[in-house]
Amino acid sequence: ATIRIATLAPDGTAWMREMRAGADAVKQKTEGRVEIKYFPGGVMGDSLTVLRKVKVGQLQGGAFTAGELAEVARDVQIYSLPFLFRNQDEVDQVRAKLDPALQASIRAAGFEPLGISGGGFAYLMSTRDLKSRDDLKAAKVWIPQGDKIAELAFRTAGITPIPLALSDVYTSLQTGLIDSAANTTAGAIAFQWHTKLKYMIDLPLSYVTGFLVVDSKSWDKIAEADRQVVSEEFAAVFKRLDAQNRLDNAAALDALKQAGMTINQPAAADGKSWEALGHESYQELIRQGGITADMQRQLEAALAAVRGAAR
Amino acid sequence: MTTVLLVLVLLLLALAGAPLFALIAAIALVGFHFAGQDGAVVAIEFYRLADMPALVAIPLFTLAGYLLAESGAPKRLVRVSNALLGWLPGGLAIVAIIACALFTAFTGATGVTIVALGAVLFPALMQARYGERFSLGLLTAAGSLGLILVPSMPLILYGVVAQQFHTTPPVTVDALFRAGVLPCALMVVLLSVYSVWHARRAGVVTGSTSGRELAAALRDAAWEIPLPFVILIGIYTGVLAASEAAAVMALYVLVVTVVIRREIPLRRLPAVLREAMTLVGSILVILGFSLALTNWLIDTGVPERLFDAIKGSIESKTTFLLVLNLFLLVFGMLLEGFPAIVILVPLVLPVALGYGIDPIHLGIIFLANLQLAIFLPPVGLNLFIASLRFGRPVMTLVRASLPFFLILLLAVLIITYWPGLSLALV
Amino acid sequence: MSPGARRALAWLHRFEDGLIAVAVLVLVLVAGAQIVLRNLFETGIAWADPMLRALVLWTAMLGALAAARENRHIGLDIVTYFARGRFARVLRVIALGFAAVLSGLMAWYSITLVQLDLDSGAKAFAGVPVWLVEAILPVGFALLALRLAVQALLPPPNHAPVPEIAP
Ligand code: NA
Ligand code: NA
Repeated sequence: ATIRIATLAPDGTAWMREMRAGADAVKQKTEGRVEIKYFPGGVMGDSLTVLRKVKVGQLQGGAFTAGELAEVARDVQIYSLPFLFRNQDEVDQVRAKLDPALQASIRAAGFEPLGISGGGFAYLMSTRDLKSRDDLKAAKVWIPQGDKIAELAFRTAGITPIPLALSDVYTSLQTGLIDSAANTTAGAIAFQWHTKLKYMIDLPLSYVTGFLVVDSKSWDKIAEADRQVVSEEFAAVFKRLDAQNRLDNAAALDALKQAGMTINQPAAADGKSWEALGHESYQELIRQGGITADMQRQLEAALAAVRGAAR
Repeated sequence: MTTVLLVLVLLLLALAGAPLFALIAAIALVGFHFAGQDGAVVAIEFYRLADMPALVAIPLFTLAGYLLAESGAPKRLVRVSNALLGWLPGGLAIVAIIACALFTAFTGATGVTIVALGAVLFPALMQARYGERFSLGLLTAAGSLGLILVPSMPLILYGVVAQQFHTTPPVTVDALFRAGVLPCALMVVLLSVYSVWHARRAGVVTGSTSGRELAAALRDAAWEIPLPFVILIGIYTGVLAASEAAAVMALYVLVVTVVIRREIPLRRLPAVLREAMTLVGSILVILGFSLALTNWLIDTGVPERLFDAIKGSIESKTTFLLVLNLFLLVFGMLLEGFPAIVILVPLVLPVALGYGIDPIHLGIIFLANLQLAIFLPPVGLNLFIASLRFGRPVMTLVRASLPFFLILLLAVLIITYWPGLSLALV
Repeated sequence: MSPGARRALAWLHRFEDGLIAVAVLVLVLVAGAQIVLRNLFETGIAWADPMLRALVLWTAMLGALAAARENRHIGLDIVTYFARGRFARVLRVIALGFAAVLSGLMAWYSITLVQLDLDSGAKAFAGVPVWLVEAILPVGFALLALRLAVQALLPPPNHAPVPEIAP
């Protein structure tokens, strides 16, 4: 069987190299019974278009961000809640507990998860010299089209964000339609945003996750033994990617500084209000039913356990 | 065998006058069918017309163009340029060149330029004794001049099709707008130099200069004069994105022609709106199916295979560019301008990227060649339009436009081999 | 054609023209308002941009319908230009009949698209569901198929002195 997968990641990036390595290994170990073909760089359209194409069978799968996949399985966005995690260590411990639950909710939505990747923390970057919450009010902030959590968070902060497709961000920074956007440091470099954005607030906004999923109907047509091979190979790929992402983000931060980006420390007085903002938008999300009650319970329990243990 | 048969059937249908959108839709549907895909993929791709911010500019610019053409603006444009340049030897010819370039840039039309401006300019050129052959050739050639000048619709269309390939750097419409300015200026200058030389040799009557006429002409066109400057400066400084410039222009022109000048009565407005959107509809429907066609090419990996095949026989970038020029001229002539963009760009762009050609420079090369192909003998469309408009045999127009063709060919070669000219302002 | 049918047809044309005029004017005004808000007040309407993009699709389909009514779809006319009499009629039936069939097929495939987004429940802008924006495709293509089929049987129009559409 051929599994055709679309992704926005440009060809030649570390992510695509690892994906291709996984595909090669699968092809070899299944003796050509399972072939994986990629359409990188967004040539198959935005995530809604890709989802439509999966439904009519032109594609069998895609790589999505949490906000994009939330369109079919709302719980996948729990790691992206603003100011939820304080550091990478918390992320690792919570993910060890909750990844299986996320995979179950993706399966319930009719997709087989081949991998969940931790892309690192997103930071707000801007063409303006942003430091405080007040500075932010005058900014034209991008959010990914359809990303309800990001929209909610910025609206709670009193900002009207501008939703655009990822592929339109670079152009819109150029024309001034937007002047601020959040991304991981590696992401900012991969999409060339660093040529436009000159300031960054040193404050982890949210944790970025990516999902590689395959349509269940196509998945079930593959022989049991071959499915096993694909799952194992891609588990290994995503393990390597997580490790790689950490190195990449650290290197990217250096590269951003080299390219002349100013790293602003958040204004000290804002410390409390940022966290309050995170809490407020979390409550609002729960009220709107953005995540299931079951997942909410599991998440709060996991976080409490991690923080209790640390104390 | 089946492929040959299908191509033959489609060619016959094309000759029978089948609408282009249906032909492209047929290729996409049959193509996806043989690739084992659901025809709904074509509908999914077509729907992406509602997904592209750059496309908002097309109905807005077209509306503005139609309102301007319907108003007295073309006549006022000719009057102002004549007052400015009429005193020069060859001045009237230069007026014609500039007016034709601006008209095409703002309306996106080439054949209509010959029809609309020809009515004013041909008698004027004849009266000033430029000679029939020169006047016919100049107007035929200038019809398509301005295709690469902001805010021409073909530039937007190239940008939209090229964006499907997600190149780095991305092909933005704004960058294309900036890239076309100097190459278009080169064409205008070369044609003007030739016109001055001809005017001297032929002993053309030179108009007199009058400060009073200039002032009157400027006053007459006071509402239109700021327009090109606002658009050019807005886009060049990055204050306005292409679609924003289009909105500013459409709103401004709507207010000036309908409310202030009242040249278009309110009860005539719906008809003009429908006229403009008829053009927009017939173009966007083709574009929608060409998105599906492009997606089929990407889906089946045709561009890669094409590049591999060509790479075997053409090694250097220089040779490739030369072959590209010939290819674009011939197919541009056969496909009559606009269709060439939606059909040829998806095939040519990935190959050209393989040879290291900048996608923005490629856009200018592409449209500069098309501009030439539109009046390339034997079946360049504008030769026939000019033949109808001026009531002369097509062969007369072929002969008359030959020197202009050679001059513009020189310009196209310079544009092709000197990327800096296109990329200096990007 | 019966007087009733003629009246219904005239009414349909007026409705289409009205819809086009409204769509274009909304396009101009909302796009203009957005620029003013963005540049002078540093704010904007959140649903404006997705709505403008949806309007592009709607004007495209309505414009294509108007183009079919007026025989103005872009195509090669080297042969048809010189064709006369019975030969011209035959060419017209083939060319426009073919386009009618293709439009019919597209109406059919667009229903699949609308169905997909009815199921997904995705929103396009300001609470308007995506399927409603998409609904212009099956409706528009079905009307286009009908109109092209009728046009195929009518005698060819007199040639305008000059093709209206370029480049
Ligand atoms: Na895209
Ligand atoms: Na022109």
